[in-house]
Amino acid sequence: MRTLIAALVVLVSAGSLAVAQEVEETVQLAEPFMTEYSGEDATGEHVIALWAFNQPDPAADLSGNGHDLTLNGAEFVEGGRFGGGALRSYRGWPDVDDPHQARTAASPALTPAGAFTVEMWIQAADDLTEYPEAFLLDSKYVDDLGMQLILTRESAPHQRRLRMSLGFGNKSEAWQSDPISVEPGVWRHIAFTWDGDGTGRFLVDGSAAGGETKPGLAAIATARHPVIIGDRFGSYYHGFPGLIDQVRISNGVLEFSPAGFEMLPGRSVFMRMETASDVRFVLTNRQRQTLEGARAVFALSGLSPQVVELPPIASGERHQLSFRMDTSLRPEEYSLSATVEVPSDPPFSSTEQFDITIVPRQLPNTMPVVMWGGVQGEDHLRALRDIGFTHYIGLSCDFNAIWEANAPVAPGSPEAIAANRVRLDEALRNGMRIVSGLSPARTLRSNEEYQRVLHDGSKHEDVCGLFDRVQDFCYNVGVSMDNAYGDHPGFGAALIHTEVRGGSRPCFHDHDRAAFREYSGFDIPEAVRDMRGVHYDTIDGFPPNRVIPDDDPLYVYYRWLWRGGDGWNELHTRVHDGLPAREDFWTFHDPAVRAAKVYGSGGDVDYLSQWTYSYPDPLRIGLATEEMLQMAEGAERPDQQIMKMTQIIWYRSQTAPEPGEEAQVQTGTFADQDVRPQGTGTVDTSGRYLARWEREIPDARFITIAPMHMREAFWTKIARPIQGIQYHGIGSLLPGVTHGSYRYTHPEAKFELQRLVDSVVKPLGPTLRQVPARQSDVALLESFASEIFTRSGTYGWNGGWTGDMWLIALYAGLQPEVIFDETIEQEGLDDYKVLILPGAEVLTETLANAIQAFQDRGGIVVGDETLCPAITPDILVETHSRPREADEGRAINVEKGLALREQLDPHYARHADSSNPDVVPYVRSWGTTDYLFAVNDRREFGDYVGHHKLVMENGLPAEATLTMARGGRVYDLVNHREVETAQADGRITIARQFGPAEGLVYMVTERPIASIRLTAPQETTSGSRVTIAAEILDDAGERIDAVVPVRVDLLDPAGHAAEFSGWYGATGGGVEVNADLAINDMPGLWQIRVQELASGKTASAYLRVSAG
Amino acid sequence: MLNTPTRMLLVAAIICLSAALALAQDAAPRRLALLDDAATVETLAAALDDADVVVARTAARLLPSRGEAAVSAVGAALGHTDPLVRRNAAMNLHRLGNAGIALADRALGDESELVRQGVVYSLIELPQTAEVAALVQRAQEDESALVRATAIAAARAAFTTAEAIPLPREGWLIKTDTEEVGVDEKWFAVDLDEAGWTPIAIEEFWGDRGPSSGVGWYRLQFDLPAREKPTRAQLDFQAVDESAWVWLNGEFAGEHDLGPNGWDTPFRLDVTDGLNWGGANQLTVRVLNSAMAGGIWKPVSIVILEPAD
Repeated sequence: MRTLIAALVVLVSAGSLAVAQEVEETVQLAEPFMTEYSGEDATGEHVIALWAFNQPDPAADLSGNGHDLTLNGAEFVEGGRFGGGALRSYRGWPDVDDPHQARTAASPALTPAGAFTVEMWIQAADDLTEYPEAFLLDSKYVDDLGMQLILTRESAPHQRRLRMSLGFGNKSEAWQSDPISVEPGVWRHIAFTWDGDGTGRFLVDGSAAGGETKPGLAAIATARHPVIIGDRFGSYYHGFPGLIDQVRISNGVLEFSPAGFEMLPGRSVFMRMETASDVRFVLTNRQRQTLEGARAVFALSGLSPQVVELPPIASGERHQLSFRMDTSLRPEEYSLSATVEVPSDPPFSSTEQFDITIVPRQLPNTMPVVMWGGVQGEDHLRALRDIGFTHYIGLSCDFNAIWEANAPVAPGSPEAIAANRVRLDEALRNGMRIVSGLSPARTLRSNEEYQRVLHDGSKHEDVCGLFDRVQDFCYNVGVSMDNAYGDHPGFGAALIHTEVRGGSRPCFHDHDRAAFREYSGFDIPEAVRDMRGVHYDTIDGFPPNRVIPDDDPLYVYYRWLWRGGDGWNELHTRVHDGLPAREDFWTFHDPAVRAAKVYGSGGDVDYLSQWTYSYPDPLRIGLATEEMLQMAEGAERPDQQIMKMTQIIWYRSQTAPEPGEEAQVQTGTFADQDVRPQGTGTVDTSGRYLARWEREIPDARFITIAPMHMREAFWTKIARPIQGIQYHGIGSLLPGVTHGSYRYTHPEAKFELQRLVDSVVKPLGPTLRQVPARQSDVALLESFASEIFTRSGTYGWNGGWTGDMWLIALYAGLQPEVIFDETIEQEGLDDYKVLILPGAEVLTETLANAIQAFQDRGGIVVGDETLCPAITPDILVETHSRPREADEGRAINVEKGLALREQLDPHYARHADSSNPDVVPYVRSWGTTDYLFAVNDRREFGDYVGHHKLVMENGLPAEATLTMARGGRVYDLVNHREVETAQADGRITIARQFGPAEGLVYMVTERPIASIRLTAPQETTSGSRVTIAAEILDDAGERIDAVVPVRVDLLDPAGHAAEFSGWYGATGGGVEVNADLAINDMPGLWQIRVQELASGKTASAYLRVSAG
Repeated sequence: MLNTPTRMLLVAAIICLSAALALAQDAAPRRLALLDDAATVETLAAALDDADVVVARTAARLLPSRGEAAVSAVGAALGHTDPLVRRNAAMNLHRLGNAGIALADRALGDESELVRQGVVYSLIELPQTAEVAALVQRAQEDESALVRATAIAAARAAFTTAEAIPLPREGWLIKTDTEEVGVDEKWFAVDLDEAGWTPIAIEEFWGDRGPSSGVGWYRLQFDLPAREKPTRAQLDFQAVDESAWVWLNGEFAGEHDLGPNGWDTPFRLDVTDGLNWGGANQLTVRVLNSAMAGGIWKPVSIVILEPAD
C-alpha cells in the first residue's frame, strides 16, 4: 500500500462566492494490478498470501508466508493473465459432485485480523454459461467463520454478481456486487475490500462495483478450514469453470482505481431547466506514474456523454473538473458515471457512479406550507414532506464572521458551508426548500457599543438600529448568504429578525434624538420611557374628551418610533435587500403584529407573518391575520403580502393545571411512539380524571394542539387572503423528535394536518393565492392613539377586549376589516357602513372628526363604554373580562353577538350571512365571482384538556342556512361539485350541515360552468415546448370570470405524470401551460387530462410525441 | 343531531333574521332622514318613539344639538326605556348649554351606570362652574366604579398636579387569601391584628410571597405631614398586576378591575376626604392575580391636585 501527501486548492462551495480551501490529504495509490505483483506488492508486510501459479513452482505462496497450495481436482495450466501460469477449475455439482480446487493447509494466519482485501483475475470458460453459482475462494463453508467469495448465477447472458459472505463467529453477513460482465475468454480483475468496520466494497477492473455498510460489525472470525481457490470447501462442490490468476489476500483496504473521482459537495440535485448547473469533481491520479493522455468521460444514465481531455496529472496529484448538467432532462434520479480512460497497453478505464437528481420546477402559485423549525435528519424531513410541508428552517450563518469582516464573507467555515449545501440538496431532492433563520441584529444585543441607551443614560440589552455599521451588517449578512447559497434552489426563503421588538426600548443616542428632531421639529418628549406609550391618566392637562391634536408630541413620537424610528424596519429591509433576488426566493418577518398598530412593521420583506395559539377560541387566529393584512396594505412596498402560522404547541399553563401529586409517571410509552391513542384517560387514585398525556407525561410543559382546533384555525386563516401557512412545534407534531419541552401528546394532529393540506392547500392553494379579500363594509378600528395613551393593544395576541369584540362581530355575522388610524387618515371611511371601535378611548382630532362625519352620513358606530367621549355610539357593547371557563366566555360573546345582530339588522344588510352564529362566513372576491368560506365554531369540552374547562377542544356538528345577496351558481371547491341552492329575490340560500370544526369554500359565479375547452397540439417531438391551454367556459362559450382551481395531468405513455402536472389556478377562467418536453421523455401517445375542481368537469386530449 | 338549546338558538336566529330583513326596509331610511340637517326638533322627538332603538338613539344624539328648543324632547329622551337612548342624550347635554345642567343633575340619578357615565362626559364639556364641579364631585362618589373612574378622570382634567407624595417602597405587609375570606373578615380594618402577615416591598412582583393565582392583600401604615385639606387628593397606582380593591383608613376607596389586561394600567382613586393629614393612615389593597406574576409592582403615591388655570 503506497500513499502520497497531496495538496490541492479546491473550491468547496458553489455560487458566486467560491471559498478556496487548501486541502492536504494522504492519497492512497492504486495497486498495480495490471501487472504481475512483485517487490513490496508481493512480499510486503501487508500481504498475507499471493499465488501466481507460475512455473516452476505454481503452488508456491509468493508472499513468503508459506501458504503453498495443493491441487485437489484443479490444474495448473499455461495461459495466465500475464503470459505465465494459471489455475484451471471446472464445473462441479450437478455435473459431477467432485472437488476442482487448489487448497492451502488450514492456518489462522490466513484469516485477516481486521480490514483486508481479496483479489484475483478470472477468465470464464465457455461452459460457465448456464452453470449456477461458482465458488472462487472459500474458507468458510457452512460456518460463521472465515470468508467465501462466489460468482452468483446468471441474471442475464454473461451477467453475474459477486457475493462475499463473511463469518463473524455468531452470525454471517453477505455483500453483493453490482451486476458484472463475465464473458468467456475475457480476463476480469475482481477485488473485495473489508474495512473491519462494516463496509464491504467490490471493484472490478479498478472500477467500483457496489458495496454496502452494515453497522455493528468488525473483524471476521478465524476460519477453521483451509483457503480453497476455485471451488467450495466441501460438497456440494461448485467449481469455477475457467482460469484464475494472481490471487492475493492482503491486510488493509487497498485501492485499485487508477484515478478516483470525488464529487465536491456543491450540488447533486438540480431543478429542471436551471442554468447554474455544474457538478464539480476532483480527480486524483492514483497510479504510480503520471497520468498522461487520459480523458474523463461523464454520462448521465448513458445520455449526453461529455469528454474532458485531461492534462498530465502526476502520481497522487489532484485535478478539478466539472460536468455541465443537462437540466432539460426529465425530472428523475440519474446515475452519473464518471470514467477515466487510461491509454495504457492494453488501455483500461475506471468508472465511478454518482447519484444525481433533477426535480421538477414548482408550479405557479404553489402555496408554501412552512415548518417553522428545523428537522433532525432525513427521516423527519420525509415525514414533514409526507404531511405536505414545503419548507422548513435550517442553514446556519456565522454572523460573527460577517460582523468582524464588516463586509460580505463566507457565512461559515468551508465544512459548514459544504454541510449546508448537502442539506440543501437533501431538501430539494425531497421537493422541499430550506428557510434560513436570519436575525443578525439580535446577535449584537450584548455588544455594549451598539446597545440602546435609555432616557437615564443606562444601556439596554438591545441593539440600536440607527447605527450605519449595524445596518451595513444586516445587508452584508444577506449578501453573504446569497453568495454562499443563492444559486441553490433549495435555499428558498429567509425568516428575518424574529421576535426582536418585544424586548426593545426607545433609544436616546444623540443620533436617535437628532433623527426624531429632524422628523418632527421638536425633541423626544420627556415622558417617554418604553415602547407601549404613556397612560393618559398620568398626563396633566390631557384633554378631558380624550381627543388629542394630531401633532400631540407623544403621539407624533410613538408613531415615528413604531413606523421605523427605532430602526428595526430598516434592519429587516437591509437583510432582505442583500438576499437572493430570485423570483422563487422570498423573505418574511414575524411576529409582525407584535407591534403597535401602524403601517410598516416588517420593512420591505415579502411577507409578514404571525404565530397564534388556537386556545381558547380558534377563530381568534383571524384577528391577527386581519391585523397583518392591514399592516401589509399600508406597507411602503405595495406588493407586500402575508402568511399565517398556527402553533402546534399548546402551553400547558393555558390549557390544564399543574400536575397533582397523584399523577403517576410513566415514561417512554406515549411520547416516543407513532401510535394512535389506545383509549383515553383514566381516573387516578383520588378520583380525578387524567387524560392519557397527563398520566404518562405529567411534567409536560407544551402539549400538542387538539386536531379539531387545528382544523378550525386552519379554515379561519385560509379563508383570508394569505399566501402561505406555517406551523411551529415539530416536537409536538412528530414522534421521536428531541425537544427540551415540546411533547408529543396527540398523534392525530399530524394526520389532521395532512388531510387539510391534501384536500385544501394543494388543490386550491394556487387559486386562493390569487383571490383577494372582498372589500368589507364593516371596519374595526384598532386605534393607535388609544394603544399609546392607554398602554393597551393586542400586539398580535388576539386577546383582551379587542379580541372578544372581534369575536362578537363574527358571531353577529359580520366580516370586520381591521383598520388603523392611518387607514382613516389616508382613505377615509367611505368604504364602510359599520365602524366598530373596541377600546377606542383616545382619538386624534382627524379621526374623531372623520368618525363623526361617518356617523352623520349614515354610518353605524359600534362602541363600548370606554369609547372616546367625543363619539356617541349607535350601538354599545359593554366590555367584560373573560371568565376562566371557556364555555362561559364563548357563551357571553355569542350572546353579545346576537344582540349586536338584532340592533344592526334593520340598518345593515350583509353580502353573506349565516343563520347560525356558530357558523362564521367570510367572503373573498375576484371579478364578479365570490368565494364564500364558512367555518363551524360549535364546540364542547373533550377529555384531552376539556375536563379542566379552560379550552373547548372538541368540535360539534352544526347546521346553518347560508345566504348571499346575489344570484349565481355555487360550486363546492373541496368536493368539486355544484351545490344545490334556492334562489329568490336576488339572494342565494344554501342549507348546509357542518361536521365538527369543518370549513368550506364555495365559488359563486354569475354564470354556470358548462364545459372545458382544451387546446393542445396533436403531435410534437421530445425536447420541444408544448403549449396547452385550458379554458373553463360558461354556457355562452365565454370564460368564467373567476380564478378556477384546475388539475392538469400530462401523462406519458407509461402513465407517469410529467413535469407541469399538478394544480393550477385558472386566472380569468383560463390557464396556459408551457410544457418543456425533455429529450429523454418517453415517445408515444401522451394523454393531457384537465379537471376543473369546481363542478368536476374533465377534458382530455392526446399528443403524439416522436423521438426528437 | 342538534341538542334542544342549540336548535332553539338556531330557530331564534332565523326568526331574528327574518324580522330584521322586514324592518330593514323601513328603519334604515328613517334613521337617515334624521341625519338631514333639516330634521326638526319635532321630527327628532317623534323618532324617540320609533320601534327601532338605533333610530331612537340617533334622535337622542342629535336632539341636544338643536339647542334650547329641544330641552323638553331631550328630557323625554332621558326618560326613554332604552338606556342607550338615555345615554346618547346624556352624553350631549352640554350642547344645550346651561339648560343641560339641570338635566344632568336629573340624569345622574339614572339607574344605568352607562347613562350616568354619559352625563359625566357631558359635564366635562361645560364650563367648570361650581355647579358643574359639584355634579362631577357627586359622580366621583357614585356607587358605580365605572362612573367614579370617569368622574375622577374628568375632575383631573380640570386640575393640575401640584405635588406628589410617594409612598414608601418598603414597610408593606402581605397575606395570601387562599379561601378568600379577607373581605368578610375585614382585613382592611384599621385595627386589624397583623400577626401572621409577612413583610414585603412594592415596585416588584410578589413572587413566592403571594399566590401564583389568587388573592393577596397588602397593608401599609404611613404618616402624612400636617397641611390644609387640598382641593383634590388622589391615590396614584402606576400599576397593580392585575386587579385591585383599595381601602383607606378602613373605608373603601375604589377598585381597578380590567381583568388580566389591567396588569400594566395605571389608575387613580379619589381620596380627598379620606386622608388623615398630620397623622397616621392605613392603606389596604386586595390584589387578584389570575396568571403569571402578581402584586403592586409599580410605585404608589398620593397626588395633590389644584385647579388648572
